[in-house]
Amino acid sequence: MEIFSAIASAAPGVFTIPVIIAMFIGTVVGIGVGALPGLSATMGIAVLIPLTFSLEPLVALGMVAGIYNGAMYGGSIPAILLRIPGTPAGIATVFDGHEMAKKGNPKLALDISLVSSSLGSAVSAIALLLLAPPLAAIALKFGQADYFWLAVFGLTAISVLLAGNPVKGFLSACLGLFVGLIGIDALTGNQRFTFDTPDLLSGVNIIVILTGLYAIPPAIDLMTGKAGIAAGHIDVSGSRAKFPWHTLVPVWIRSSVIGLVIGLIPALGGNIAALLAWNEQRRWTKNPGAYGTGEPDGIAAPECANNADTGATLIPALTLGIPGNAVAAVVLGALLVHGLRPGPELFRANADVVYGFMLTMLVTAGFMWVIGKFGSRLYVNVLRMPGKLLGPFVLGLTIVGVYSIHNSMFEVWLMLGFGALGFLMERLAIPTAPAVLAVILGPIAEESLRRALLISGGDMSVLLAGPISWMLAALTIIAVLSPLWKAIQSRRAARTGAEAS
Amino acid sequence: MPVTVTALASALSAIWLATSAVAVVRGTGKRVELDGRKVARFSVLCFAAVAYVYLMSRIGFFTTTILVVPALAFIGGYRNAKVLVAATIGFVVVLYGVFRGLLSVPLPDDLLLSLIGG
Repeated sequence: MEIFSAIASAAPGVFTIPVIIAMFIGTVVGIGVGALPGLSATMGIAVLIPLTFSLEPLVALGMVAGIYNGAMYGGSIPAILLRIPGTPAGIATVFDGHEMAKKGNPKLALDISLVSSSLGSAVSAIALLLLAPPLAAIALKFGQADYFWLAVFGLTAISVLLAGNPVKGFLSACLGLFVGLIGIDALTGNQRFTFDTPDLLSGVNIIVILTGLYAIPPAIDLMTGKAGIAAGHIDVSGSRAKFPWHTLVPVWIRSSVIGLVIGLIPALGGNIAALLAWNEQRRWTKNPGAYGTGEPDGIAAPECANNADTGATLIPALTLGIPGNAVAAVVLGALLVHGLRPGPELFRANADVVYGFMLTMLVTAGFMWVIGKFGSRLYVNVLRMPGKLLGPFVLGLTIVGVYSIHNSMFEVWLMLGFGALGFLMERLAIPTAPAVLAVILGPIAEESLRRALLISGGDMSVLLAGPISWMLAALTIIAVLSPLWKAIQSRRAARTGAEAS
Repeated sequence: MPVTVTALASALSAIWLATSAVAVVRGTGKRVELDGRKVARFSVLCFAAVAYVYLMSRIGFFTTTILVVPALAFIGGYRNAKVLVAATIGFVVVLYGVFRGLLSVPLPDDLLLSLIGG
């Protein structure tokens, strides 16, 4: 009941004119960002955060919610019309979506995608509203050692799972840990890696590294013609085929559950949820051969799952302060910019803002349906926007946005440096997400470790004193050893294959 | 913590170096081929991006944007002059409205704005 009274208390703040306008603009921009290949929700939010710096927290977060939800649906538009997924989460939509469009039903394919995305987002937002508060209450019981292991586990899982080569994943995490160390040590007052530069005394602002790593590389790709598409004539009229409501309901239920579960697991994201939902749907059906030929279920399953993942990803981020993927890290960055420290205390100290933010995730799911329903032709024009023109605009927006945080040219140069580094990391197949997560998780791990040792008088056994610590330590070891297990399995499979042939 | 992170990063770099060296010796590594024209275009784009930030602090953000944004698009290969000019002016007007009008961000002194009395 406490949850419902908190929701009721936050609702009036959400339904104010500025927040509604912000949610609307965010959703419009989000669908556009998702529709443009090369741009993602992470990049859209990263560019937007500095612009929302001077706005009220809930206005800014409403816009963030709109971008996050909208981008997930937007990715399906080029996937259906052009066979090019706008975001990684739109990959599975290509299989049946484009085939249905080729058969002369692009409008129906877009409608199925829109309704499935909106439902997935709504289910995810409701799960966020109902699951996050009890989890936050449990998190209040976490000790310093538990927090240390939680941060270490989150970082390890992401470094191992996000990179093809775990060495590169951990190297990226080390970069983030290094950046997180810069500044004055809160416990001793010593300067760390500041190189006598006054601008570095307060550390590197999370937004500077986020915009550098996530906005500059796509801008370079757009300018050099590596991203973007040459969309010629696109027809979205199609025949007036009937919307298959009755057959899609079980698909939505199954896919929502898949999206929610995947969203809760660190390092997995909308693309995994969508692919898994599409595959599971094919396994459940009596006619799996029809999948990949324009089956409505094959569009509904991935689109519902990748949107159901959005709110679920935010559950560990908001309650524990532990982001499970890059986009959750960017959302945490948005909260930090407005002085809101994610974690269980957030639900006590800033209940109206955090519940309001969760409500905006639900409201923007509805906005997405309205905007998508009446604006599909507008987004077809977005697909025609030349990337070589868009790239310089993204760069300009990023520069002025980062400058406006503290009116600091130093931060703009730093952002540009991180951008160059991010571009180089992408070319070397080093994932950037572990670096960003390490900037957030590194200080949490260090602070918790030092506090636990201070309390115990330097006794290391305090790190494994409780069952939660034991469980998280075991999960960390499993995460570290999982690449070895995978290598042994694939070697064994190769040997069996060679013997068979 | 700083020592641990540095040591860990060094160890991981050493492992990566060793595995790369083994791949080169065995001939299993991926061959990197650079296209001279693309590298030159990329270098010019990087230089223009650095110039963007440098000029912003000297002649102001809006003046720099009017100069550098079309230059970057042109270097990238965009050739529709009318769209380029119209889009750049529109972009600057929107940014002026947002950052000066709405957010009142104290941007560096702007040459163009001082000329037109803005």
